[in-house]
Amino acid sequence: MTNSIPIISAADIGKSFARNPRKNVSRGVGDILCNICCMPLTFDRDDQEFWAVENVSLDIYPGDAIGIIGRNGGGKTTLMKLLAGLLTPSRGSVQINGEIQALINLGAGFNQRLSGRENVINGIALRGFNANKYPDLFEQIIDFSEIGPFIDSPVETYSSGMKSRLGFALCAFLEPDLIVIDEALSVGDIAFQNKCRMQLQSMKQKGVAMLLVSHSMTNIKQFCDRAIWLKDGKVHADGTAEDITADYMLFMDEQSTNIAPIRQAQIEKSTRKPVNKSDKWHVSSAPAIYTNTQDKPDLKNEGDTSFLANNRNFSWERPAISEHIVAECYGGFVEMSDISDFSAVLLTDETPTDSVQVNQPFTIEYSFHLDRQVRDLNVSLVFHTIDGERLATISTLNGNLLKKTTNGRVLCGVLIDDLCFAPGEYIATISIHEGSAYLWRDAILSLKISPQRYMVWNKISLSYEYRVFEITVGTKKIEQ
Amino acid sequence: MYFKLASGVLQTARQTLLDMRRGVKSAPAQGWHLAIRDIRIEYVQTKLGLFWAFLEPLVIAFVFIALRRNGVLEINGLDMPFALFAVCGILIWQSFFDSLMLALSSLQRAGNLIGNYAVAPESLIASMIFRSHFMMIMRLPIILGLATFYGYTDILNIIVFILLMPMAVFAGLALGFLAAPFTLASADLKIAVGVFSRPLMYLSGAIFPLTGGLEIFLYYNPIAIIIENTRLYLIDGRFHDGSAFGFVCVGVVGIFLLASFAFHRTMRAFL
Repeated sequence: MTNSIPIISAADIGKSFARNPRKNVSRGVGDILCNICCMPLTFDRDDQEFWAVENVSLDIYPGDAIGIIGRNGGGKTTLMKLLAGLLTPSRGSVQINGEIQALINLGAGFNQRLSGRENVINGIALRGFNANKYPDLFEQIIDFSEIGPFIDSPVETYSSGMKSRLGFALCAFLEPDLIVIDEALSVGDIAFQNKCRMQLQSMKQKGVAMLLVSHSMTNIKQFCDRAIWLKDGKVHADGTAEDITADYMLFMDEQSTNIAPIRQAQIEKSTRKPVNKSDKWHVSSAPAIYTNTQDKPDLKNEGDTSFLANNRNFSWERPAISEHIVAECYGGFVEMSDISDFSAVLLTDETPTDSVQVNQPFTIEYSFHLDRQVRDLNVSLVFHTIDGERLATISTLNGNLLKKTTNGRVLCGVLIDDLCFAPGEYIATISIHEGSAYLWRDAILSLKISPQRYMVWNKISLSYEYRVFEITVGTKKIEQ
Repeated sequence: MYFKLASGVLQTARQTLLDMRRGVKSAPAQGWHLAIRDIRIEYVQTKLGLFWAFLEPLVIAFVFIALRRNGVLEINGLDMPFALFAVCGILIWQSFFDSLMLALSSLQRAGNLIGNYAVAPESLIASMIFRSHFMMIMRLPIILGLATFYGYTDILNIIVFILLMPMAVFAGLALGFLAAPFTLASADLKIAVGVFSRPLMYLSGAIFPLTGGLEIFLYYNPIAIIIENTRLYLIDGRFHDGSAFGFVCVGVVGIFLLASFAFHRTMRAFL
């Protein structure tokens, strides 16, 4: 990858803004005059100005998928605009070698008074394409956006989701070398979001580089191999998406609580050091087992013939769950031809069952076949109440268990020591993703948690050990 | 193709000129598209559409014809009827003024566009040129119609007049683009230009001839020189002061090129 020419090569770029541009007119005029006369700024930056982005160096090669994360005001959007050539840096240089499409704002700069059709034609032309030469392109954009008859209505009558859909379609179908998306996929219905993600995944497979700004760490982990954490306009950390998102989530968690100074120091210590320019980022090899707690027993080896989900004698049947409940669970059923031969089973003591006792350990095994090459595979196992309420999710994103899987059969088992759910009816669903796009999604098991001899109240049944140390009746101590 | 898109304040003049040369290639097509888009945006929700662009000069012409017929406005000693003098002068001035304000506010008006599309500054400049000329062309039929009405029908004079009138547009654009970056530092600039341009209209001989003590403006006010010479050529087929007009034309072209350079360097630098 590094042998090719980077699509973007940014060297030590920075962008400064005045806190109040209208406050110091003479200085602003001075800056403009210096710029026109090709002279460096003669005065030092002071507290009237701030660096929205500072000392960022970045090379983006074909096929790279880089996530930019950070808190609001951290400089993410400014960096996107600098890299996409929409802003001139105050310092440093940006070299561009290729076609870049940027979806920075919702609606991609559409004019509100013009119709969707006119805006698409303008958008195509302003991105250097001739709409007349690419009639198919225009139709593809319209079809993908699902705007339908509203395409001839003024954009001011569109919902935010419709604008976003049209904007995304416009950027995605112009065959860029790099697509820059700034939090624009967070609107629109789930079905369209999935469509966008599939389109992005398809572009990624074709070698289109991606720069994604998102507050969703799931999106970053699903889409990106590399992540950059911007803090106060500077690169705070740069590394694999797995590591950086983990650090960032830890940081955000600590920010949301009033932590003690010692704990803060520990967090700072554990946070990755700012990247050294000479360091090469790399994707760590994915472990085969991931556990979120210590001292768990090992699962069976996947080659084990007793792996029931893969056993030819065992047939899995989709639980009879109404479409209404499925819709409540995740907005609709998704089945695509890229997954076949799905099978799943719930086991207690290595015996298939559909009922476990409260707080009893059990295993869910599943297997499926990938019928085509898939990049960035991940699977989410989700537990819902019978009404569709989402209670818990276990994903292979933690540990990047399946990310390197390409095609063929996938056999997995999840050992759950204690589900903690109160007695009742539950549904387990599985979502198989390529990146963040759904390849397959369905309810796989219905699960009954039956009561033990003890009583359980509310939704959760905690595992506990209750000890009574002393009871005093009058003056006489009763030893327990 | 491997090129330097931007290198901030340290970009040399040569690099800027290379960028400009690159931008000029795509400027006509993109500029035309942007101009059509902007004109559509302006009139798309109106019932009369483009007729509004034609109506404004028409109303001005009717006002002056009516005033002259009623004897309210009558100035003697002119080489042409006062109505033609005034309408011709006002519409040339208006072409200059509209171009000036269009270019001056270009960075603010195009903020959404600049923030979303990597459109070259030259394309934006080209779109302003097309838009300004569109407004000028809407005025031409009124001027030429009035000239024909008063018997000034020399075809050569009319052709030269049509070729000269864009000089007023370019003068406005040149000054507007030169000052446009400074509107980012001060919002007062655009308002001040709007306010102080009105008195300048009277000192440019647009409505009333510059006589007596005001005659000096015919030699030192470039806009007055453009208006006077363009108008006189339509009527009489001669320049009032050809050398001054030539000097102003060269100056306008020079300022326009300088303004384009300044606009290119600053368009994305101070947003």
